[in-house]
Amino acid sequence: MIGVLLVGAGIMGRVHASYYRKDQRTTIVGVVDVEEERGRALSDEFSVPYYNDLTSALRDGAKADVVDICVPTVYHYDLILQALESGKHVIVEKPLTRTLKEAEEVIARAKRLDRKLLVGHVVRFFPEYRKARDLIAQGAIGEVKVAHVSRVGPFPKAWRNWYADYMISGGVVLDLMIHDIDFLLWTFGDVVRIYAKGLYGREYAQLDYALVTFRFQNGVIAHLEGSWAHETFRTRFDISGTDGVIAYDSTRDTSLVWERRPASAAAQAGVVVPESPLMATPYERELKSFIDSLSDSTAVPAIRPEDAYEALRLSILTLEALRSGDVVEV
Amino acid sequence: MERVRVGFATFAHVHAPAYARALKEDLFTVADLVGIYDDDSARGRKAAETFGGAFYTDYAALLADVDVVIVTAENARHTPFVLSAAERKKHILVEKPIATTVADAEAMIAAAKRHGVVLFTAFPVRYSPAIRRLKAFIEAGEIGRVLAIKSTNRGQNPGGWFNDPRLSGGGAVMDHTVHLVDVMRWILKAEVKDVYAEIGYTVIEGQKVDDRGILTVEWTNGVFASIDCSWSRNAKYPTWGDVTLEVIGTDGVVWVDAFHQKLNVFTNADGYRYHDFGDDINVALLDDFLRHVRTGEGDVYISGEDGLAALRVALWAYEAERKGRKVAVGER
Ligand SMILES: NC(=O)c1ccc[n+]([C@@H]2O[C@H](COP(=O)([O-])OP(=O)(O)OC[C@H]3O[C@@H](n4cnc5c(N)ncnc54)[C@H](O)[C@@H]3O)[C@@H](O)[C@H]2O)c1
Repeated sequence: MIGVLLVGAGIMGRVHASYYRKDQRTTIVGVVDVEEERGRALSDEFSVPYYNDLTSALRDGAKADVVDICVPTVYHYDLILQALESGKHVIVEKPLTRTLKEAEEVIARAKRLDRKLLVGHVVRFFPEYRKARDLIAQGAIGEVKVAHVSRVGPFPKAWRNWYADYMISGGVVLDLMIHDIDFLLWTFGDVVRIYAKGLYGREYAQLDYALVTFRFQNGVIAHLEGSWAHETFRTRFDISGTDGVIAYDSTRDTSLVWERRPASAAAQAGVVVPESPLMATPYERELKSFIDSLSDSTAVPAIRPEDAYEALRLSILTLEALRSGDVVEV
Repeated sequence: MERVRVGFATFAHVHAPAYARALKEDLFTVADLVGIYDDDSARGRKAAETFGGAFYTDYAALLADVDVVIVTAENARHTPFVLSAAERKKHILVEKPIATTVADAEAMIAAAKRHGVVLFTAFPVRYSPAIRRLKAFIEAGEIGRVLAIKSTNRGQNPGGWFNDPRLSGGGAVMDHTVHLVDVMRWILKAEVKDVYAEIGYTVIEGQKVDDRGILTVEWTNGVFASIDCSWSRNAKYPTWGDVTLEVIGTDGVVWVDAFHQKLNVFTNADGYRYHDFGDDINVALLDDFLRHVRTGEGDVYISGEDGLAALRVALWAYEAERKGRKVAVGER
């Protein structure tokens, strides 16, 4: 049995918790959250202890094999180090950390302590993205020339409005666009140049939007749109090559649409977690692969820490491009 | 002027048949297609047979018989046709891009001014009802202040002289950038401040042709925008391409896909095709141009200056690509 200590009982913490409930190989051994009410609400559901902070949870000897971290990005670093130091494996939501230096450090530490560091780049487990990547690899559309990727939605409402604090979340690029950045790196390899324009620095607290262009070593021109200025969550891509086009739009290419009548509509809260009916959600597929790799120490995780590092690096360089207002050579 | 006598200065451009068809089928009550001049006599003769009017081997002779000339020659060859038409006091509809160099465009603008004739640039997208609706939304403040625009004008490589930079002035960047720049200028009432471009080239029949590009521009009013001008729709794509604008405002977002009023048609002969049921914007453009000629006023006047402003952005994109950095307007 793999004991999971869950840190952060917010939107993503609950998504992870609902997976562990289903996976017979795992058991949640405790819930940590700085907000007692939130933490207890979740720990009560699992009849496990609640802790105010990770230090006390680890000290109290919660029988954890892995610490799963679902807190605002800026706090990832400390919590990862703490978990690794006490001999735990780590599952952490993307982005790995808020800064590159922190990422280097936690990766090195995990290596030295021989612990797994599993980062939630969940787009790799969305079958539409995986399938597109497979088709491209099979040469279905020939040599790729232009790739559009887009991820738009409302400004996320969360604990203490932390997404609005650039120092905590990194804004729409570091928090949201990083998903597509990971997908592009996974599919097309190395980037040579970045150009970017966005609302960051133009003073819109509850609105963020960025248009970014990547030039890849293999010649692909990728254009990324990331938005916290839209009303409906939507992901899209349009990838064109010498022999064809692969296009996807989450609002059209789905098997179920639920239109709620306003009278019964619950107040919208939290970030939108994309859902499309599948036997296992992408989050479940991701966590299953993480637990698989913990159960079998020889298994190669689907997302290596180095992949998470690259996605973070390109996201941070994109922020640099936004700030500098000109091309950034990678 | 009761009926307008119309001539064509070559049928090189792929849009020429669309204007000729519009004259023949939609605007026959106000205009006559008098003749077609073409240095490619097979092409000119065939066009005259198809759409009516006489085939001329002498451009001066054509000019003597018409009130207006539609210049749909290769991009780089507009200038002599436009200049001699202006000299003979003929009004001119010039295909986009107006020219391939700033000097050529300026010469056309000056000549039209000197001779007091209409010089109208063919930017039909301004007549798209969806684009008009977008403009009205923005002017009424419905989406608050515009912050950013993501736009695409994707299509297919038209082939032929479009792949010969000496005649085309460039590939996809030259061909498609101008439509979106013009529409944004018109809606935002601003000018482009800086330009960056990632451009991709393919060797086609021994010529290096840019068949894809992503431009990023900033406007003088602080709006930033991207433009995909790529010839990135493959032969079996269900339609020729698109014109889309996604406009981000402080109070909302508007998404326009100007050619998306379509039936999804699935046949054994052709597979999946879009069949457009929207309005014909080429007809609307030509109609408006003819109204300007007949009455001195019309709906919008898309001037030579408008043509030049859009051309400049395409040229800056190539410059940015050559320099590997953002090009600020007015630097140097
Ligand atoms: N993979 C995805 O699709 C996806 C989606 C949304 C968020 N995320 C990521 O998940 C992480 C969490 O985001 P969220 O939307 O769930 O946030 P949230 O605001 O909903 O929840 C955060 C929770 O963490 C708690 N918390 C804050 N600081 C803490 C600390 N130091 N120790 C313990 N608890 C603490 C808060 O009380 C809150 O309950 C972020 O890194 C975010 O980028 C990933």
